[in-house]
Amino acid sequence: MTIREAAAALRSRQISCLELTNRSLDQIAKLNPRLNAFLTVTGEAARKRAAQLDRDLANGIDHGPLHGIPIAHKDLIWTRGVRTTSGSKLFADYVPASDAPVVEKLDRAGTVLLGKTGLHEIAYGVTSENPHFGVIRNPHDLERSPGGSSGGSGAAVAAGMAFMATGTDTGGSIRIPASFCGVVGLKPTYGAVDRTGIQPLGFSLDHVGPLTRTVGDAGLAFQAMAEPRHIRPAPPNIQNLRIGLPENFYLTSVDPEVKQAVENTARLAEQMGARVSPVRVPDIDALNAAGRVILLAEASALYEPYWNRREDFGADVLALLDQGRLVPATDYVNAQRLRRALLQDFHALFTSIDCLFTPTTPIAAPRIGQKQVELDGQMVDTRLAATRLVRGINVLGFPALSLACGTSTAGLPIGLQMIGRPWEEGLLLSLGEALEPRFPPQPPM
Amino acid sequence: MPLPIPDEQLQRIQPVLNALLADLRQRTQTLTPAIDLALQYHPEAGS
Repeated sequence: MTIREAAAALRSRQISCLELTNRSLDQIAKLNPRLNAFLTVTGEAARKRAAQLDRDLANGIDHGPLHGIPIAHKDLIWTRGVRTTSGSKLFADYVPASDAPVVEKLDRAGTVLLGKTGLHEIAYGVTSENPHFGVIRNPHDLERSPGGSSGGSGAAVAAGMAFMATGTDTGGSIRIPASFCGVVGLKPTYGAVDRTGIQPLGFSLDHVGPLTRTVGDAGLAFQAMAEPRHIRPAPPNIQNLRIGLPENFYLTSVDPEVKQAVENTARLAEQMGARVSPVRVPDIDALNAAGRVILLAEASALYEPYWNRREDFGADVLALLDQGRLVPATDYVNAQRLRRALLQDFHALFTSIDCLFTPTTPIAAPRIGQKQVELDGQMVDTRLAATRLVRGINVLGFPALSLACGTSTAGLPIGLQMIGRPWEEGLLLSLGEALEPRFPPQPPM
Repeated sequence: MPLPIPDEQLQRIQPVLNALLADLRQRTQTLTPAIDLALQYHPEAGS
């Protein structure tokens, strides 16, 4: 069931908010022991809230399309009175005194909070193998990674535990779990969603957005989460939208099944009236190098007060924080200069296209603990492979939507990334919604 | 004073970091030198 379907069922009294919430809580009780998607479940508060929303609806008070919809928040987003760990031993007992503005907005929109989803430690990694709170598993195959850092959000939505879960994305952390778990993930334009009350990692790279089961649901969630002042209206349809299919970088060193699925989707868009043309993209390797250096320096600067608590970090996160301590200021500044120059190149590219189609990840979900993957006959670090096609878009701050566009022969979802101009989330959502019916979701587990 | 990075950790992380910084420095060679930035507006100089 989608958010739209649930909203219709609630208003026709086919189901109540409480029943909808109980269904989600039952699914969490059944599956969470295996998936570890939720770190905290707020069942009693959720039932109380749902019952109030039922009374509101009965009294003619309708909070809008998300009224009564059970959701979850990534556990680095502040929730008043509910433990917010950031997946870290440092904050294992931290209970915020206030909600993040994005939590308040979703609350005002009538959502029901089910609890908090697990993540890679301090959102600094893509495996969601958390040394303090356990490994999060992919609902499509329990031996595989859900991706990260918003791995709990991706797994929870894919497994039908929640209709929507929030995520954060500093180098792909919404889109990678969306790709590996076969759900929709929207990384909005930089600044489109307020980051106050959210544990930062790289302050010039951090984004907040929704993970949902359908593109339409992502649109509803985004409308409730975003600061509306800059968002441009969606086009009326996808006729004549100009889609660029990269000739370089994005479709090289990619699993052949992934490449095929993305190319097929571009052909499908063309059949539906869009105009697809080959394009050469600016230097993404340079963008990725700049992004990695910027993130190393920014994350280590933010975590400086905790450098003396080395034993409280997992080995992979500590290694990254230590690397960041060694980045010279000159390299950080020049990475930012390179970023600005490449941004000009991308704005130039987007004068001839409206949207860029790429794979979200060059591979489907890897096995838990898998250190390397084979691409084009070469062994590549799994973490670098997973972030290779998504990290640069954080450096640009452009919006990007990931949705499933096929299934591998192993039965795993394949993700399509659609990248647009700043503030044109509406265009990406329209295009995604037009394509989505051709890719019926593969139910996990 | 923050704890220093232990030698063992330095040996592990330095090759990775050095490779990244070498890659970045090669790419930032294309950035405009100061004298040219002084003479004309360039996007990378900011505003």
